[in-house]
Amino acid sequence: MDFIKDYFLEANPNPERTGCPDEATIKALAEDRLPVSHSGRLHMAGCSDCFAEYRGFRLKWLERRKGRRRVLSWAIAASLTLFAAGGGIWELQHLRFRSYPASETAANAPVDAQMDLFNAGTLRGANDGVNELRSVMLPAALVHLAVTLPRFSDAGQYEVLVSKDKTATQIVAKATGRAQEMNGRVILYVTLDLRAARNGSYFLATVRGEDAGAYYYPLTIQ
Amino acid sequence: MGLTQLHLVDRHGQELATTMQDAVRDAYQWAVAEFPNVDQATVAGWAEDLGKAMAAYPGTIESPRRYAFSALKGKIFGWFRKHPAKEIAVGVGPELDQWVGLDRKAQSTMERTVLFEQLSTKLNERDREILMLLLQDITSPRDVAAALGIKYDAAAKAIQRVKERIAAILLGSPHKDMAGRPPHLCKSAS
Repeated sequence: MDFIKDYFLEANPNPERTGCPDEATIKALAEDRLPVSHSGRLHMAGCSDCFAEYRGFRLKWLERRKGRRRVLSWAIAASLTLFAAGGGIWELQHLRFRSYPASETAANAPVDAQMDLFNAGTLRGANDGVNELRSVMLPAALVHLAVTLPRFSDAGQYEVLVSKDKTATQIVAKATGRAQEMNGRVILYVTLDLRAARNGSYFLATVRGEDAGAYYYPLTIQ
Repeated sequence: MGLTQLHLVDRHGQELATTMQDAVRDAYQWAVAEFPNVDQATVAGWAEDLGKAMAAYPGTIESPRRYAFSALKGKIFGWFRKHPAKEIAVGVGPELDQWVGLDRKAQSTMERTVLFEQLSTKLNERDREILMLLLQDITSPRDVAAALGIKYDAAAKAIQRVKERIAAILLGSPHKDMAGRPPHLCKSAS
């Protein structure tokens, strides 16, 4: 189309500007502010000078529009980035909040707890019935637990397990400690990390290191 | 690439009036964008001369912008007529030019003149109006119909006819093979 454009720029000189629309009209035509049926559009087919003016306004307008579009696209990109970043931060905070609700966040600090099994009738083995001992409650936290072992328990190395079942296949926490005799009672100190445990019923097992005998006691984590 | 800075002063070195400066700068920017093959520094020189000329007749120029556009356009087309594009042959071309005396410059001038002459003679007023609308990015038959005050079908046919005539002009004598392949100048219903 370049040669056609050059043709219209050269072929119809009108230096006297006879019958030409004013500059404002040509500018409005160039900026598409006037309807396609405006007579000024066809006038340019016979007036090279008006067409040159039109082209001058048109190229400038297209350049400005391109600049505005560039700015707009940058603004959109920046907005999307900010939105994504904001969403990410919100999601992060939301997830963190979901993972560590207020009560559990507070549970990051170790909690001291005691469990007295001195008079507990214990049931040995996986096939035994449920211990008649009332369920002991522990918080879903990092627990410094002092377990008073049942009567006649021996001192020594023990392993403590918290498990969903009595076969110890779903262990949620595990700790090892040495039980010591104090005032006629054998007390085992262990630290159990129950922060990841969900609220519910569990079994706490004490396993003596030497004979690997396991004793299960009902436990509730809240 | 940036534009050459214009030094717009009158013959005594005084700065031009703002309206004149704006007019000359607008015309210069248009010329550089419109004719990228013309040396920018040459156009800048013309624009500065134009500024000087305008400053010499401050009260007589009714519209500085119009004057600047007309004058610069005249300069450029005058230059085109004196310095038509010259095709530079690669390889044996320059040697052939020397041996056979083939003047591609003259050929190019002739082609441009003939082409413009044909556009004037082979296109009627309606065809030229349609071409002008196409140059204004008014390309759909609906808009062309609205601009010309004719029906949609008539506009579509008129556009098609212009395409065919332009194709015939560009291809020289219309060839049967090319009859069905006009250039894609615009959208049309055909």
